[in-house]
Amino acid sequence: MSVKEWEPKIVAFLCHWCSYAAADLAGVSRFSYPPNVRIIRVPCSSRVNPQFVLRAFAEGADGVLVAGCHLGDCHYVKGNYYARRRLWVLQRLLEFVGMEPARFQVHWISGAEGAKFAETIKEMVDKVRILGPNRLFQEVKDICVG
Amino acid sequence: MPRVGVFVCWCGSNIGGVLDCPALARAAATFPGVVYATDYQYMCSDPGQKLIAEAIKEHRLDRVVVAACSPRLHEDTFREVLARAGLNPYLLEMTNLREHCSWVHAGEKELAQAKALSLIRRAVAKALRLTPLHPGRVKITRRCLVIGGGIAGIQAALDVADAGIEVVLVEREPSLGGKMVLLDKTFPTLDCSACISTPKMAAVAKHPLIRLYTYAEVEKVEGSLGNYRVTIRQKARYVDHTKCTGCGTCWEKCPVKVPDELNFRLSTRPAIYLPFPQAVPSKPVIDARHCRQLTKGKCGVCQKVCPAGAIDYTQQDSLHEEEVGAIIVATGFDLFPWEKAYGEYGYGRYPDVITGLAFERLVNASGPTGGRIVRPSDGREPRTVVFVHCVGSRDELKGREYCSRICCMYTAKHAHQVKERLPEAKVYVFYIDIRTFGKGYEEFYRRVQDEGVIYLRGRVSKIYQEGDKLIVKGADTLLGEPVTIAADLVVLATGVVPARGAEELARTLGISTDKDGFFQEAHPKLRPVETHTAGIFLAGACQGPKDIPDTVSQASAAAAKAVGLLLREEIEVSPLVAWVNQALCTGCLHCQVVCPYQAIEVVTEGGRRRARVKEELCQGCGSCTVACRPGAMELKGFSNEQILAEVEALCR
Amino acid sequence: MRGLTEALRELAYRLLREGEVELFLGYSWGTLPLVVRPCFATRPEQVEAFIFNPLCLPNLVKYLLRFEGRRVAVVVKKCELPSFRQLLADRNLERKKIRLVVAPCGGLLDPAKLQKEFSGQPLEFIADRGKEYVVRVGEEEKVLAKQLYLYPRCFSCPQKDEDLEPEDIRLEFSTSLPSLEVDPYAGVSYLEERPAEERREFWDRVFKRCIRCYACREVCPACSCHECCFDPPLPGWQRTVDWMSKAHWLPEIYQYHLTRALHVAGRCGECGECERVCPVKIPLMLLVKKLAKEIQSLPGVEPGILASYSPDDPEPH
Repeated sequence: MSVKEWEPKIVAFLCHWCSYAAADLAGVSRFSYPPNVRIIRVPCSSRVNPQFVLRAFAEGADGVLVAGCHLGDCHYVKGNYYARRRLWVLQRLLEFVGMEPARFQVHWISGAEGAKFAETIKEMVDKVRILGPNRLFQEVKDICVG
Repeated sequence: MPRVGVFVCWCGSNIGGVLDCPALARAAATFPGVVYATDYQYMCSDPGQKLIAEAIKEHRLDRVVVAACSPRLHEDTFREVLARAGLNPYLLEMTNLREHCSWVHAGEKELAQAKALSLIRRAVAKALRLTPLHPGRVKITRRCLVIGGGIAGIQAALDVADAGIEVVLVEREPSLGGKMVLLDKTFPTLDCSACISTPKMAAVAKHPLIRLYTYAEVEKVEGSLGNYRVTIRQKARYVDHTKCTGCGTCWEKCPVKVPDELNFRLSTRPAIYLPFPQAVPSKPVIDARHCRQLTKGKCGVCQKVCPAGAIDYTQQDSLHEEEVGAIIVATGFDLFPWEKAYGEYGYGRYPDVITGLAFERLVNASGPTGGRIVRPSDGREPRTVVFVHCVGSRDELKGREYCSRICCMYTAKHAHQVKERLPEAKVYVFYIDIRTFGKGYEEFYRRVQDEGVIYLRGRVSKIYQEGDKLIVKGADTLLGEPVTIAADLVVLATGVVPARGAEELARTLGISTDKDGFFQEAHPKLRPVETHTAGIFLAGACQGPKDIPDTVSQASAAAAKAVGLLLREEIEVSPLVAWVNQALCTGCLHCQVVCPYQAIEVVTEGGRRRARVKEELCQGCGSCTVACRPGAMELKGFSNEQILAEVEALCR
Repeated sequence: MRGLTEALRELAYRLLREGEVELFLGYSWGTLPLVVRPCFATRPEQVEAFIFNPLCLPNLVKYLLRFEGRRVAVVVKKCELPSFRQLLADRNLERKKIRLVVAPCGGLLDPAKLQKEFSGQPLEFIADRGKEYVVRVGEEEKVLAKQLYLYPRCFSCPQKDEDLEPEDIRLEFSTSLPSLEVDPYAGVSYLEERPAEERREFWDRVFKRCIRCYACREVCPACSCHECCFDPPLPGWQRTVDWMSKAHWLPEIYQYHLTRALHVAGRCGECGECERVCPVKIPLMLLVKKLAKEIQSLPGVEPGILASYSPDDPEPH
């Protein structure tokens, strides 16, 4: 069996009002970025349950991105403040059990920042590619490394 | 098992030029639950929509996935297609092949194709778990409550009433008018403030659709958007306004003299009084704290002289209930209490150091001096007047961080008025920056400078009395040297703070305040007159410092919003709201703590406490779902089950 | 220390006889030497089984859930009061029906260490001398230095009993725990300073031992949900969400333990029961303490970390 070349798999939770709009704008503006990111639309970054992030890693994601409106610009006013605290705690926990920080990132990207969205994805994919497949949470350690 | 149909759009060459759409459709057809998959040049076009509608009927589809452009663009379009085909419109899931794939990965066709398939798999996974949703409906009580009878409240009440909607206006003080009616002239046009505000007060009083409560406060607010039940406390006036004719005999004969707070104690008023001659209603109230009859039980002069027999010393506070569909809050501002903070300006010890609002009374023809500018201490005309900007504003240490926005302009106006009435007087203004952003404001400021008013850039560090002079020590930072001025009168441009009791009212209404205590608007740019609580709107300085033109515009905007809501028979509320799985809820109420909209209430049933969502208030952010450990709190359209399925599908 | 046990029995006897409580929750000797178990008495004649000594490890407050709505007295140590308050708030328990009996505790002893020393002989506690306990083993009197035998969580004893109601009872007994000045986060700091790879290997190693018995959840007073998200979906309408399966493989074990740590974060009273009952000795308190340490660094933290925020919170990266 031929070993398929490994490509980083990144799940992105984007808030409907800002970051999803930024991804749309990146498209409209044709700012290309690596195709390793898969987007899930949520109403607000505060809808992202840390358990979704854990599940993504357990299911084999190599990186998870959560992006929402800039602080103070949340469509639901306080949502991203709640998200910031929850996800900050989650980052501390993941790093404590040995996850590399670059694998789980949180960014604030407004609907006008298509370029920032593309840039964020590029940087994240680059970093995760260097780290290689996610080993944390994985039973079988030697999955196809390219 | 649901029957899913997948519709892959080419969007001409936008998608079709990069992705192999027929191959995507063929692959999608093999996903579990998918019974039909096809591709088409333009799904959003008429034939495309028809294709979906026909496929729904032909293949008995009950879930639809459209793989095309952004749902932000065409979700509504395709929902309508489902509705036309007889399906619940919320059984649609879109996936974004254009913005998120073909447009950005045109250079890597193979990987783009794989990504597109993964995106469709996600949409199918979510579609399988979609449920039909139905927008809620709430009937609207077509009445509006306006809290505060200053210019903002007056304008809002008139606008709403003129649209044919009944208004209940509640004012805390004995008369309408607020702060504006106390002012002499308004900048920059210098028209007489009372001349333009009192006709509006009278218009309120005689408007057939406005029910006016003065000397009354909102005590309790229950209910929600469209249906609020408001309890209003009418404070005892001790004067029966149904009998009183406002003849004035009582206040002429009243033997009590107390300092008049509206005139900043520059004059006195009786215990039974009309706050000012043009008051609305033009009927007096008895100030119970100072009335001899009410405090000591002997006097009764007003009762004896009243020809209408309107005086009733036994009157009690009464409670009134009003039902309304919307609420406009217009509670205005108070002056920053500088006496407590600014020791270097004498803590209010020097009678000739006054606030800008007190100056307004001095210069006002209906004020205590009949419009003569004199020193409160000895009644002499001042020869040197010093104005000090930013007292309590832009001062993190002693006052507030923000700019009060009105002081630069009213000080310019005051300086002009001194020059106009006392041409020989010397006028100095200490400022940090001059902010003249409004229409005609900069021109006015230039004009005042040309009139000989001397502007000094710098703060005043100390004011103290020496003989009958006030010594003002400051700095001219442009010249870089200290300045000492012997003044006769000092006017402090005192900043603006939320009206007293604003915080309590916020709690009563369930709206939030910002860090400075002003009411928080729903969005600083896009929803400036709404609050986070649906059906409650903001007008005027209660939302943040503003001048009269801005206040009036905001009041009209709030009125337009309220009218827009109240003219509807009932409103549809989005079905994408949270709901509580009652079997799982433990009643820890963390959801209630995080909800920005007060949309979660507590129900106790059989001794067990649980949360319940008020759907008409919920905006669907989903923050509560994360606060819920057992997963009892769910968000329709973005449920835990759906999102987990999406995660799983994408990680495959 | 017989006096303390006697006082406890007398109290239980009085409360039950006079009908002030329907149930008294305390401790009795277990079937094995050095092991203490929970003991429930509903009738005055049952109180003879009650004991209190430095081996009374279990935190009894979660049993209150089984007797919701009934008048119950429960023996607690000071270190268990935070978990009691959390339980009270989360489950809206009727405080006036609960009478806390705060036992004076000079520090618990680690049965594992004693087991090694006395190889299963029963102990009789004689006195608490502050820095040491005096015990009788067989005919012999021995002195146990607390520094050597103390149960790990007692090194960071809060020694506070605030927020009691007037009806609650403080048992009086001369006892003391000297200030031991141990960094409660020593273990956390040690692991934090290891390289990420080493941390991952450490957790892989300990989590591989996990048998998903859920004892840590069952015993935890902060895990007080009626229905737990880790339980499998129920047929029908009650629960449709499958947060994770019960599969015994590493990804889900990680998911389980990290989720649990997040769920109790900011709410955990650090009673240490999860770690005590773990049959495979997973150092669960490391996770809990790690989050407690991080949360303490957040501005303006109130209980319920997920339910609050501060504008000055740190930025995630």
